[in-house]
Parts: sequence; structure tokens; C-alpha cells
Amino acid sequence: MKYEPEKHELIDYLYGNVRDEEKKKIEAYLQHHPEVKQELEEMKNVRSVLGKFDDREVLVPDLLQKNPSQTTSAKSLMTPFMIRLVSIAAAIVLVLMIGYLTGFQMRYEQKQLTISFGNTPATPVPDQQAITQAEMQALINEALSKNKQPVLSADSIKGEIRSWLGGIEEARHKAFSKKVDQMIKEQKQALNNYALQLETKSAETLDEYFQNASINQRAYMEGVLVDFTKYMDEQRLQDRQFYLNNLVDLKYAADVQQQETEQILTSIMNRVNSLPEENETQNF
Amino acid sequence: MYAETLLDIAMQHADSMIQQAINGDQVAQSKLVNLWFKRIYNYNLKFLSDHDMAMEVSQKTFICLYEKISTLKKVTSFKSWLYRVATNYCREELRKGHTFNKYFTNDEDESNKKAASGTYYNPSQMIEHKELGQLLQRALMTLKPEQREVLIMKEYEGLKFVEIAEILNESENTVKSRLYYGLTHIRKYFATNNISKETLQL
Repeated sequence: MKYEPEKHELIDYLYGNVRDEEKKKIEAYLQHHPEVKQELEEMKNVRSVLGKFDDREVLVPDLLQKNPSQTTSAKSLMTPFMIRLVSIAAAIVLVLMIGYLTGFQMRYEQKQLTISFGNTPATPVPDQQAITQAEMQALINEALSKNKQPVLSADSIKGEIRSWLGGIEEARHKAFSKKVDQMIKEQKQALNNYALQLETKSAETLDEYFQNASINQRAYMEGVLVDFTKYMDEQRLQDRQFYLNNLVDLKYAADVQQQETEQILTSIMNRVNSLPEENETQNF
Repeated sequence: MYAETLLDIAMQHADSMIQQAINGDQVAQSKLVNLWFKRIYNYNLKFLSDHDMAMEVSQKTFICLYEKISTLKKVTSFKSWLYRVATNYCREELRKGHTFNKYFTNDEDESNKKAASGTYYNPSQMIEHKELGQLLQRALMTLKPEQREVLIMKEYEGLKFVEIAEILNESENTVKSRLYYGLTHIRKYFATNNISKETLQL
């Protein structure tokens, strides 16, 4: 049977994916079929030409740089024109906000342009009437007359100041010492009162303690006496019961003995009574 | 050909990050998105040949990652699962009947309009590298969707046959057969348009 390689075998041969045995078979076939060999050669050339088809460089779209399912829309509305428009609108809004917050005002009145912030601009203060020359002279004369009074000497002034300060100091010292004495007195009084209070309180506490103690003791003694009395009563009852029981037993025993004695006596008497009859019968 | 970069190596060894993502760690999930987005986008772009559609499908894929990764049972299934999700979304776009011609973004479109006609190429003319992308994309778009997805996964995503079979829920032999027919079709397309290593000055 003539060997004819399949198309996939020829491809394997073309790509060098055949084992040695198959390769020999195919080469032997190609030796006898030059047209097939020519085809394979041309395919090799085709592959060589195709290999010159270079890849194109491309950038990954921004859409795919992160998970598109997390973006709200695959197509962004923010084109450069929109961005510019939004920026201008934001700037206008900002300026209006600043103007509103600062109370910006601009007016044109009486051929004057007034720009202000905050409250309305105050009206200018009307000029006051100037002091007349005569009034000015009178003021000067008054000041000079005051200045013409005799000036005390420096020493006398010093002396006066010293005496004045001394007086002040003495008065202050007196007041201070008085105050201190009073404070000491008050403190002593307070301490005495406190000591008295302590004394009375402690006496009261002791009385209370002793009273409580005696009450407790009395209650305790009463309790003890009551318990003892109960105990004695119980003991008496028990003893009486004991004696009663013994007496009962004794009586019972006595009764029993008496009965037995009676029985014995009765049996003896019966026996005694029956003895002569027996003797009489035996004789017959 | 699939070239292994540091990023690719990092993607191969992200098991702990995948496990954390499965457990609900959103930082890990975000890191996975950053690691895999470019790969999945380029897969979708080659399949759909439309930048906007590829971006949309990629976003849908990773939104699904955020929502459904916690249901993944094995860390090793992550790669297959991710490609399966992307493939399903791509097929869904095809079923909607969109015409996908916008391989380049608006900025690039003007400069590449003259390359779109296909009759521009002269066998003696050297094709510039910047037109190569669109040329290969047109080649891929001539394939049936099931052949295209296998070819892209094998040639550009570096997936193994067993992984592709798991993603598409097909047998390995079926996957290899589709790849064979896909490569054959591309080979004929190149031959028709006189495209070779020599004309591409590779």
C-alpha cells in the first residue's frame, strides 16, 4: 500500500514536529513527489514573508486601567470643552459667594464711585466749627494762671510725702494688727467651742454605749434565765415521768406476782382438796 | 514569525498574577490587562483588518476578563480562555456583516491609499516596508475565517497546536489541516500578485 502523508502530517513535517521514523517516510515520499516538495518549500517562504508582519504598538485605554464595572459610565462626559465650561462656572459661583459673604457693594452717587465691604458706607462727618481766636486766648491765659501758682520745694514735698506715707503705714499697721488679734481671738473661741463639743459628744457617746451595753447584758441574762428555767422544767417533767413509769412497772409487777401467787395457792388448794377423794377411790 | 520579547516572557510566567486575578485581586487583573492588551489587539487587528473594530473587540475582551476571570478554574487555562473570548467576539463582528477595510487609522490612511489598489505593484518594483503590513493584511483577509484564525494563532501568536485546538474546540488534526489549506491559499495569492522574498527584498 502506497504511503501518502496526510495534510496534518505535512504540517508537522513543516514545523519540525515529527519523529525520526515519520520524517524518513515523509522525505522518502517527497523524493518521489517533487510537486509536493515544491509546495512545502513555497509554504516555508510564505511563512518567512508572513513573519515580517510586525505588531502594532498600542496603549491600553483608560477605561481598562481599572475595573470598568466600578465606573458609572463607560463613556465620560468630561470632554475638554465641558471641563473648561465647568471651570468657568465654578469660578463665577466662587466670586459671587465671596461677594455675598463679604457684603461687597458698589455705588455711583453724586459723581462718586463708592466701593465698600460690609455695612453701607458712613456719611462723612460734617466739619465742626473752628474755635475762635478769642476763645483760644482765654484758654491759654487760664492755663498760664494755674501754672503761675507758687511751686513747693522739692524737700518740703519729700517731707510731706514721707509723713503722709508714714501716716498711711501706721494706720495700715494698726488696722492689720487689730485684724490679726481679732482673727486669733476668733480662732481661740472656735477651738474652745470645738473642744467643748467634742467633750459633750464623747460623754454622750459613752453614756449611750454603757446604756446599750447594760440593756444588751440584761437581755442576755434574761435569755439565759429563761432558758435555764425551761431546762429545769423539762428535767422535772422527765424525772416525774420516769418515776411514774417505774411505779407503773412496779405495780404491774406486783399485780402479776399476786396473780401468780393466787394461782399457785389455788392450784395447791385444789390439789389438797383432790387428794382425799383419790385416796377413797383407790380403796374401792 | 513570533519573536519572544521580554514582555512575552513575562506573559509566560505570570501564573501567580493570574491566580491573584482569579481570586479577585483587581490590581492583578489590571496588570494582566496591561500585559495582554497589545497581543490581543494585534490578534484582533489581523483577524478583522480594522483598527476601530479591533480596539472595540479588545475592550470587550478585557471587560469580559474583569467580569468573568473569577470563574476560571485553572491558571494554565488563562491563555486559551482569553484567546477564545477574543475569537468569539471577532466572529460576532463578522456575523454582523461589517466591512472591514480600515486597517490603518485616519492619520495613516491618506498616505497609504495608493497601496490599496493592488495593481500598483510591478515585479521589478521594490515594495517598501511600510506597505508590507497592508499587503499581508489583504492576504490574510482572502482566507476563510476558520483558516485565518488558525494561521494568525500559529504564525503570529506562537500558540501550540494543542492550545489552538483547545481554543477552537477542535481536534489537533483539524487545526493542522486548516493551517495547511490556509498556507496553500496564501501561497497562491502571493504567486498571483508576484509577491516573494525577492520582490519584497527580504
